[in-house]
Amino acid sequence: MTERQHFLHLSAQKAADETHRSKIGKAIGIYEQTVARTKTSQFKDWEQARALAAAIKNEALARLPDLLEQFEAKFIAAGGKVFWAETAAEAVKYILQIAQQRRARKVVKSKSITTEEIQLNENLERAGLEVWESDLGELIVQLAGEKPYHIVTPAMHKSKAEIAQLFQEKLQAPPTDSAEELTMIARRHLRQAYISSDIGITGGNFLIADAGAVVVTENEGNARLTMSCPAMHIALVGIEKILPRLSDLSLFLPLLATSGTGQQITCYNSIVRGPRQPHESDGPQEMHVILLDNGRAELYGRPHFREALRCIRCGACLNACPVYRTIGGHSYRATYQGPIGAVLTPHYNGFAQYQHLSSASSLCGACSTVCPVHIDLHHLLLENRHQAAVAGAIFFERAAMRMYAWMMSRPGRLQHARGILRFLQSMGMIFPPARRIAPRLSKKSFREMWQAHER
Amino acid sequence: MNASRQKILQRLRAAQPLAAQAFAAAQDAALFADYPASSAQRAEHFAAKFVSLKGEFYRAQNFMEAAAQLKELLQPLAQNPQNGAFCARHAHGLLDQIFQADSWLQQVCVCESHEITNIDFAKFEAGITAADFLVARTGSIILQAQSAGGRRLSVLPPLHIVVAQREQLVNSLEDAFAALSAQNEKFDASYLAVITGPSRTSDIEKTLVLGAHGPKRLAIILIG
Repeated sequence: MTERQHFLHLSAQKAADETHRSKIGKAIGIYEQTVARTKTSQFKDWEQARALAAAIKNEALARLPDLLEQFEAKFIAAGGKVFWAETAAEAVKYILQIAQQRRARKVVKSKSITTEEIQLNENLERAGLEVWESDLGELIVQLAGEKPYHIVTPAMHKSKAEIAQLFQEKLQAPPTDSAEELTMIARRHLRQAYISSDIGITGGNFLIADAGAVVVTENEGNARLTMSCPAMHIALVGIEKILPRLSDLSLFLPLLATSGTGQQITCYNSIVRGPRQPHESDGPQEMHVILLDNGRAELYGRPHFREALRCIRCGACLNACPVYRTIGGHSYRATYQGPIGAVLTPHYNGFAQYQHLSSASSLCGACSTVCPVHIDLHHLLLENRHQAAVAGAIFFERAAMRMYAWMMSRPGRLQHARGILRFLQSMGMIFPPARRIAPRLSKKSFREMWQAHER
Repeated sequence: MNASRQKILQRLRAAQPLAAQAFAAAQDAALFADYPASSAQRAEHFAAKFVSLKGEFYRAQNFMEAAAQLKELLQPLAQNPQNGAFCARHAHGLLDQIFQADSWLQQVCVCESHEITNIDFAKFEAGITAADFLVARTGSIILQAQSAGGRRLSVLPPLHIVVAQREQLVNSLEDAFAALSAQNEKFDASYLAVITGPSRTSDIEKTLVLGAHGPKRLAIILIG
């Protein structure tokens, strides 16, 4: 099956799954209420805040190569190591290499969708390392053998009962119907991972050029533990995550939290500038930052699309998208789902295979309206479609559109076409899509009725 | 330096430059609706936010009172007093002064050090640290590896107690970051955390649960 066929199959299945719909509807309903409340209680003018955030991100992108070098110099001066990875394979190779050099056997990870991009877990496990996902949502999908459903809430699609069942099977936990108890089971389960892992791996929400810092945002404390206990910390961060100044965080931390979860600011924001310093009492002896390109620099070179690199991965466009809500995160079969995923995936993984994602949108623009850094998502989707059309990948569609244009340009032609369609329909030769009912074409067209009325 | 570095930078530099639009940076006071009305109200503002995030807020007039408050917080956790130390603290000047006042506190608390293994560290019932800034607008505590005795002390034990002084209060995050950036020598820690309430998760059906992986309880004793 091609990716497109997979997509059509999975999305048709999910769209008809009412349990799925009610779970997602409930989760996103709560999210929407909280976000709306926080936007007004925290910001004087949300529109002003997001315009400012977009401008700062634009500045960062305009100065991207210089800022990356500034970050690198600062970070190295603090004793850290920086590796630039052009591809996913390069990043994986580097991580495996340092893991082998240090004879590491156990890795604890905090949530990082960027590591999904390079399929880090699979690669580490193949090399014989033990991998512990420590974010509660990530742990749930890891135990279930699934991929994250959502970039912010990876286990949004799992009900409490399903999680309880999973913990009983995989962790030999007692049955329970309390979210509190389930969380405590995960807490006890993961304590061992923090204190006995050789390497801690995190992503990074921001890179700060003037401070040479990686910023990691979270609520649970698992990322803090991941970068506190093991002797080595590796952070894998996309090159577009850079911000010029430490002071930019006073806007970006509240902005990301508001759009991501509806919190005014997340519980923990860690600003890490390297390994443990001589006068400090603990922390990793070694820290590596991997600056991941993996298609970003190429996207940067396409002026129409550069704004997509402003994305701070808050997930707001996923939650707002009527298509995402209907077909769910797994149908995309991509690291990034929803509108931002539909924009990025064809560029990162190839238009030939993933162009269909750009068409999985009604272009309603809800995504662009909620984006905290003002990415014009639905126009970028349109731009993707345009690119694909120019590339001529869709011969059939073009022929169909030409025929349509021909038919619509003369009333007589439309009239004839109607007659032909009515005939085919009466012969049962037009099949409506599954689960749809096609109305019968009426005997008389509107034009005929109008003419009769005029007479 | 690896080969991809040059490739990536070259590709970025070869891209058609887009002019960055000029923009006016905005102060936090202009951006945020919940900015403290006046400096005099900072402590109250902080306390209200902190409590709404399920933090435990205590006020002390002096070191003696702070020591008494600390004792009150720790005593219920002492399951077997004969066991000796069940909490860890940072060897910070402020905390030294408070601990001087009470021999029981000295008895039950060890100072953090890198010699304590992760396994032993995970057994402590509480970690006691100082802080760098308290942010009134968000109810956040900002601490660095030095002020907090490294990284583990404030995140591994189930109770994190912060002892801070009134002068450490600032209005908003921008003040803290500005102070850190301006006095670069003050900001040489490898780790800085902005902590806003005890550890939490809503990953299971959006139900809020405290104490996911970090401290279940976060308490602050504000002196002055």
